Amino acid sequence: MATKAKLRFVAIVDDDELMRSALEGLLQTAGMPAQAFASAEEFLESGQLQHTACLIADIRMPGMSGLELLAKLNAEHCFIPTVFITAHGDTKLRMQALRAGATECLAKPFKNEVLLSNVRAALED
Amino acid sequence: MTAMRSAAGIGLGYGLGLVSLGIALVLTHAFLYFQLPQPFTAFALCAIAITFWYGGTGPGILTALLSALIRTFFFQPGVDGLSRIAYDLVFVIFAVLMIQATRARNELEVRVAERTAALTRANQDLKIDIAERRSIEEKLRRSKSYLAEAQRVSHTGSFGWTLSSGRIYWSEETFRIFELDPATKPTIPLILERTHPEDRQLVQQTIDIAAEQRSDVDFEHRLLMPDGSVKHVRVVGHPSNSDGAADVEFVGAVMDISQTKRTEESLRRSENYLAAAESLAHMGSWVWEVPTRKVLYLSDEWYRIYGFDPRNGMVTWEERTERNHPEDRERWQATIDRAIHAKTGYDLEFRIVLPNGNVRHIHTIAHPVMNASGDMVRFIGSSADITERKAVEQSLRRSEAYLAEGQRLTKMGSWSANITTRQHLHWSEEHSRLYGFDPKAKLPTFEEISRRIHPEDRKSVLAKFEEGNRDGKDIEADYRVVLPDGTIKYMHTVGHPVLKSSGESGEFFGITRDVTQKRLYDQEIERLRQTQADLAHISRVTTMGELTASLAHEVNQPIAAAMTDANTCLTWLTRDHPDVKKAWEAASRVVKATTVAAEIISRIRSLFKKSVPESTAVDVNEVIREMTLLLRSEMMQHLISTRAELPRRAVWVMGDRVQLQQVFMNLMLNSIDAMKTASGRRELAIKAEPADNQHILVSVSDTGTGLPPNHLGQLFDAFFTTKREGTGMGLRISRSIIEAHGGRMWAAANSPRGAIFNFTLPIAEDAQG
Repeated sequence: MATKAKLRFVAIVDDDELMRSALEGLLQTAGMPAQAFASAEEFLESGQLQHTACLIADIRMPGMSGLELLAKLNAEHCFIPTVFITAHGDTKLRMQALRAGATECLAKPFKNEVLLSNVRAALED
Repeated sequence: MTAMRSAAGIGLGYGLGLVSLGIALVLTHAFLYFQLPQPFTAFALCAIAITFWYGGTGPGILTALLSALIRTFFFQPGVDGLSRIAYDLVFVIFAVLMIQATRARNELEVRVAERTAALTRANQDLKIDIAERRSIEEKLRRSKSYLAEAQRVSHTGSFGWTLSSGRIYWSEETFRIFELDPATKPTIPLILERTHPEDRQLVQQTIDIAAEQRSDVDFEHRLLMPDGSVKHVRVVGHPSNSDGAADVEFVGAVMDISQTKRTEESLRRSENYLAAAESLAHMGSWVWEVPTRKVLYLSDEWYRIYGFDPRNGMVTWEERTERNHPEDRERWQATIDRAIHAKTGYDLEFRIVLPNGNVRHIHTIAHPVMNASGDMVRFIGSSADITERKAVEQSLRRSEAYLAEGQRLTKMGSWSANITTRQHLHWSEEHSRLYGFDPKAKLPTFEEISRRIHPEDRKSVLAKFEEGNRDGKDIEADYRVVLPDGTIKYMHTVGHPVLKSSGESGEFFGITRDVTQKRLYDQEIERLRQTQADLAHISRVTTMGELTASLAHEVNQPIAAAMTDANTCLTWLTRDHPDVKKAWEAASRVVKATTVAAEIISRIRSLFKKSVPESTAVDVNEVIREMTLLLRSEMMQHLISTRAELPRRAVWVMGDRVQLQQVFMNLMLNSIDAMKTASGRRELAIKAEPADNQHILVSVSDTGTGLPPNHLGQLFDAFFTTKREGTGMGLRISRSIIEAHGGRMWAAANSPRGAIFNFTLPIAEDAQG
């Protein structure tokens, strides 16, 4: 798994630049390679889907939302373990995300360890 | 007395005889003493002769007798009678001779005396003749002198001209007039030579005619002097004997009338000037005789003013009286009658009616002329056409009335005062009313006025006046006036220094306006503005309250990032081998994120804050970007995309930043609300572009449900809303804010669906830099 993880990277999709930078810095502490994208569309068009070991995405973004991205990946049989992060951390939205196939849905602000453990878990799946 | 003198003379004669005889005796005795021949007879004859010559005949005879006796008895006692007789005869004959000699002498004396008297008389007559002659000569000389002086003074010379000989006689003055040496011989060619070239022919002809016809001459001509000056002379001549005699002499006078000509010219010029002056001043002059009412003189201007033609001759009293305006005729007559009665002049304004119906206003001033006995004989005076002045006066009165009415209507009074001397020079009636003084009373004093100024304002107002006076600058002051009944008025006064030609200041002219109504209105406006601001604030706060979730999300984003970064930083630091560089990078991100969070909070707080609106330069683009960011979460929540089309350069407007943010917030939220339930693409577009050179046009469009078709006219009404929980104040407040910023707001339908809200704002050109 470690080899697998080293070969692939964790994709970060968030329209908020601050959060993208923070997540990149966080993953770096765990030794996880990461690549950030400002929107779902940018990620889909990046051609990096097959190298994506895990996806950390914001649910609410301009244009395509995180849920729509996940649905689109699923529809294209591109099953990437996904951890959602959202500032609107209500239960209803969390359930909606989990039902859509997300590994976890974390509310901002979240604890770094929780996110890292969820990413690790996603990568192990 | 004559008899006494005669007696005395006779006595002296006899005495002389005795004395001389006695002397003869003495001398004879002396001769005899010295034994000389006896000389008595000789001495006696001498005594007789002396006595006869000087004492007269009687004493002489007596002396002769006494001599004969003395000689006989003293010196020839022994002499015979013959000898004695011979001696006596000698004495007698001598006496007779002496009597004859004396008589002859007396006769000669008488004749000499008579001749002398005759000569004396003749001499006296001659003296008288000489004196008379001298007197006549003196008179003649004086007369000639007077004549010459008279000729000189009167510049009149005399001449004589004998036709036969051609000889011409000139007086000294004539020479002087012709400026020729008296030694010069006057001739006709000489006269012609001195004559002005233009007059030579006239003079020559006149002389020829006079010589031929021997008639009187009287003509004027000019002389051209050597120095180029011109003299005017009048020549008057008369033939001395024009009865056909061959030798005719013209006698006459040459008068230098240059001065008269100059005086005439000057007089004529003066008359022309006077006429021109009268014409310019529209003033005619006249003289009329009081007892007869006869008009003696009327100037040309008088004729013009009264509409008479001078060529028709003197205007009669009746004709002149008929020109009087019927309404003024009685007053005019009464004034003249009073003046005649009181023997004074008169000064009167009245109207006349010209034949064409035009009415003229006349101002006439008359001065009485009295004779020696004190009776009024004439009135001399002037009549000025003051029609234009009257029109100006009327216009001025009307202007003053309008000004006073204008001041009354605008509650504005004018004043003029010398601040240095603290004296008011002018107060309009309205100004008095503003201060509660009687407009008809005298000007109030500085102290009285000061007492009317509100005690709290008095010092500052006076200080402003003093300062303006000291610096020679305009005065402007707002203050309150307390009327006697306690009413308070707000005044605004401005004053401008009036500099005199001497440069002395102190005098100001100004106006004072009662701004009580405006002040109350301003206060009301301020109160309304404050209410609107409060309402806007409430609306803003309410709106912000509704946006709490979205705003929380906006704040949450950077905070979440900051927390992540902070923990990351700790992770790098708490490792066995802390990576300070990584930790520093993480900490930097924390700072950045928290700064963003602080900015968002500040932006939100400013919208919550209740502050006094202030006008600053605001970049519309920036406001749009700020509000788009602030509402980003709200829009994302409802899956609304935004599109902004903004000018590349900043667009500056003068306004209150928060209020303009509120406008954008209201419009954007309205659009978001309209699109919440709308199907299809949800897009909020914000566009800013120049409307013209002076305004920016901003439009906020959406693809929502659109405007309510039946209530388009009520969109901007207060409390009108189509939303279930709306207050109906959002658009009302937004439009008020835009209009307060000098702009305009309106709404229209968007195509193919939705609504567009447009507004304009004036561009602050100065702020654009």
